[in-house]
Amino acid sequence: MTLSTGTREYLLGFADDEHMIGARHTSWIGLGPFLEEDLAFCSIAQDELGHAIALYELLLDDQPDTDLDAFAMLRDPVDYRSCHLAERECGAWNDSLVRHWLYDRAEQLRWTSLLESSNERLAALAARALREEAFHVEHAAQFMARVAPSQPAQILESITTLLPIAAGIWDAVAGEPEALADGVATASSAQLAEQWELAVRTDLADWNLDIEWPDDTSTADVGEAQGARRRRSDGFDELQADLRKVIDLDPSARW
Amino acid sequence: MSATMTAGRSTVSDSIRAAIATVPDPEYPDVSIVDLGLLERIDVEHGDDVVVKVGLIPTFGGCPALDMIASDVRLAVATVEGVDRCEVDWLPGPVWTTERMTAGAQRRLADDYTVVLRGRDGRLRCPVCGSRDVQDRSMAGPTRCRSVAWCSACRNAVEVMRN
Repeated sequence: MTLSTGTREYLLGFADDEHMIGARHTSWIGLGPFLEEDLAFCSIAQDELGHAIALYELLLDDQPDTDLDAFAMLRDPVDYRSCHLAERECGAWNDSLVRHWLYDRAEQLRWTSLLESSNERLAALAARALREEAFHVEHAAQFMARVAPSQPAQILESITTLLPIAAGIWDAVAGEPEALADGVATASSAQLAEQWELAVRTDLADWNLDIEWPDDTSTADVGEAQGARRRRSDGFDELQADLRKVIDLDPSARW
Repeated sequence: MSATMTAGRSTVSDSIRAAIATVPDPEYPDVSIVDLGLLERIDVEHGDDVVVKVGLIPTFGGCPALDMIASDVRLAVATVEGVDRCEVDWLPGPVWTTERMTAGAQRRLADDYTVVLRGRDGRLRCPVCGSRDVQDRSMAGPTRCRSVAWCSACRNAVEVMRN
């Protein structure tokens, strides 16, 4: 099935988000705050990387000569479409946990919207991904609910810092209108952003976390928003250098 | 499972299926991927060459063993007489669930690996002592496809296949 240019960019945004968040989550392998959490976080990272591979495969379906690993890791930074939340280095556990919660709330909504995609393969992937997403959201929510009663300052600070950056998940790529017209996407980023805000606000209320909702999370300025996913955040070069370590050593390496 | 076969070639198709059944899951070396429910379809194309197309579904998409399993299947099918080539595809659907496993595979997982499936009623049965007094402990286990529970009766950790 041939994908339009706009649809390709739309799917690339999602694929790159999944790749970057998965890669960032893996930095906790062996370093999680306790054993079960170490395992849980690595499982979630593995799922996200699995989603990224499936989406990259869909994009490369008509390009049999393009190597998936090379496509995933060796593009010019300007050719990535990841959001800045996924790219961000979260060296502190509280930041990683909060990001995990905000990201997976959004990811669940994105996959749900793709269940009705006109692209049958994508719809099938969505059905599988949602089974995994249910675990991710439950994991994040249980952990947050457990730490929230003590109102730890670090968690409150992480939420305040990451909320405006997380809203960047909903910065639409320029190709989104075409993806919607093709029926590959069934909900706009603006529509999903509203659902996400409601879910996040409900969580905060459930956990009695008193956070002022940031003003500047609006994606109303479409021109500016489209630019956001074209720009790489600070630290991306370092992240990509990390991702490339193995493939640069041996481009033909296979597990 | 669906199989598209030309009439009269069922011997070949039986051999192909038998060959795929010899491929073990890398996590459970004595459990066949067919019994685990990974095999979704076999198509045999009789052109100049006889090409076998095998469609598998993963237990979960990020499984690191996918390439290894596909390669094992290709090698196994290539040994079948009358087959020139084998291609393996990981299909986007249907979604794998534990219900795709055969009763034999479930028994083997319980007996050899102390890994159990959740019953239809959502409850667990300890594979060591048979007690129903088993509680979930951790969603994440030693691999992505297993969670961890605890049997209060015999005080053993019990691993559970995740859906």
